Amino acid sequence: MTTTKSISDIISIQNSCKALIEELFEYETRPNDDIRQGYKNAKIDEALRLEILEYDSYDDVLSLSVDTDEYYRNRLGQNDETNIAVIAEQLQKFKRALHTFNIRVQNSENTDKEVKTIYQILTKIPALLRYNLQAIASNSIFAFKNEPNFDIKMLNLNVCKDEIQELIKASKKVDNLLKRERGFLKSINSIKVYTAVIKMKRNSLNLEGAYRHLFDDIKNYINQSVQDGIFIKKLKKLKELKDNNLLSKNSDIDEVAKKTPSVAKAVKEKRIVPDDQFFLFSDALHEIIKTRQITIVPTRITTPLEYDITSVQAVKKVLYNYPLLHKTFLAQNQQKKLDLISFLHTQNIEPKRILGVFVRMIKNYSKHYEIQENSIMIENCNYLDVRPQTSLNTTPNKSNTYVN
Amino acid sequence: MLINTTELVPQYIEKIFDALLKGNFINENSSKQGYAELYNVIDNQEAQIRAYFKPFRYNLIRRAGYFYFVHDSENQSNATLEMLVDYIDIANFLKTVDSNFQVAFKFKLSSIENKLSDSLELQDLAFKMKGINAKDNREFVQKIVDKLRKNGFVEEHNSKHAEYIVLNSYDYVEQLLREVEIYE
Repeated sequence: MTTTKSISDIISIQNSCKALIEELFEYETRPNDDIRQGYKNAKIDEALRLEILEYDSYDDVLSLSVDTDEYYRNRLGQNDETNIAVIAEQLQKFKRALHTFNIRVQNSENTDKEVKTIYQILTKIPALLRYNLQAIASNSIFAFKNEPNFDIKMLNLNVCKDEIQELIKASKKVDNLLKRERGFLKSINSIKVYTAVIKMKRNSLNLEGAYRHLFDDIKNYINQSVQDGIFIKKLKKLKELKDNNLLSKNSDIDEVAKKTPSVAKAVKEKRIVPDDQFFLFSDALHEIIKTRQITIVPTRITTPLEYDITSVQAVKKVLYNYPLLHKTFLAQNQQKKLDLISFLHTQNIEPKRILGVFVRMIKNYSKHYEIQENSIMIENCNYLDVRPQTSLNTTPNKSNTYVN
Repeated sequence: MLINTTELVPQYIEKIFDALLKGNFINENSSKQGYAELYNVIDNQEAQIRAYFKPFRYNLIRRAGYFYFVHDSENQSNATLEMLVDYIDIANFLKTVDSNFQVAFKFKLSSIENKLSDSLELQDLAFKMKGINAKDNREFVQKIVDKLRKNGFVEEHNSKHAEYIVLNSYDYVEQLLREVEIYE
């Protein structure tokens, strides 16, 4: 943007049109019509007047001015102009300057001009090395993160890889030249040249790690992108199979789905309650299992049998009518009122499933049951006494505890 | 393992239950409903929380930057298969829109819509996507994003500019699709 315009004006208009400018920057020739419409009557005219935006003279499409475009490209770190070849040119120039310097010395002529040229080259080369390093870094990050087209991304990353290798070579050439001409550079009686050489060496040491780091980064970007490329290819192939109804036949998608535990879908709150009393009785459950020697899953049992919370989940699901069991349990004859596990033994339940049913009954209906927090000790055996709640039924007969 | 419930912070357990009840992922890079905080709580008390939920037959699964639950009795291989088949279309479409579409990627609805309008390949993919019926490109893109959002894979990042972010949980779909082997 020309300097004749007020900077604050330009910034103000840029800010007010920011979304539009960003939109234009991202999609250049095809801005979102809605955003464009929204800004039309507000600030676009001013942005046009200040040459932030412009209409293309060819197809009359609204676009960013060259200056604005440049501003955004720089801001986003996209700088695709490396100039590694200039380093080689400078080295050639340096050699020529040394040669002419020697001729002048042999002829006892004034060498000030050559010394000045040598000094300028020595200060220019480190700047060139740094600039190119930054440009390659910026290009590689931009290609890896922002380039939407996979083929272009790979192309750009490979260019970056070639460029960093080229830059490393150029840097080595600079180091070799300094080493080779060390004696000569010392013989030039110039503090400026001497300081420039020292700075160059320091710069070279600093950049050495940065080159290696960037080279590794670019290799990682390429490797990750290659993996992405494989995945993209796979997706296209899967899509092709799907469109031709060959997915199950030509892939193992069914097996993958079968072996993958699905994410728990929304569950009804009734099924799990945060304040479920079940956990209050885990010690008692531990005791009852220990004393009864109940076989939960025979293959997982070790002797002595110990309660392991994982065993609870291993109880196979069998379709027992829990609501009916619960109802029958509550409606027991007053004289013959049994505790829960004794009751379950009378209900034609497979013995090895009794514990699972018992736990399930407590989990589902614990609010209706009265549970002794501490297990009961009878004849050296511990038992968990579970009975219908007294408020719902008559007082439980605690003496009627199940005997193993 | 006996669980000492007193060591678990009750309000977080309740929140985890809430997430579980909705069937949600708990993402580290989510900015909604305190999910990032919840992620950190689970991250710090993973063993306790895993043990707490195990008797309910819910297994806590940790993946890169997100948690989710699976129920050990719910064999929903059909639902998983259905989701996988669905996401072949969606993932392929989104990777064609932008090869960078993956976890942490930010996008705007308008940007996808613009690309869809410009690309014949994308229009062809959209046309062949049977599950999504839309009257125009905008509605089509909106429906895709709604589906991703409903499944817990993206969330709105900037409502003013309708900008979305891909959550860590999108890795769940990508990993499954990567696992599928194609017979040559």
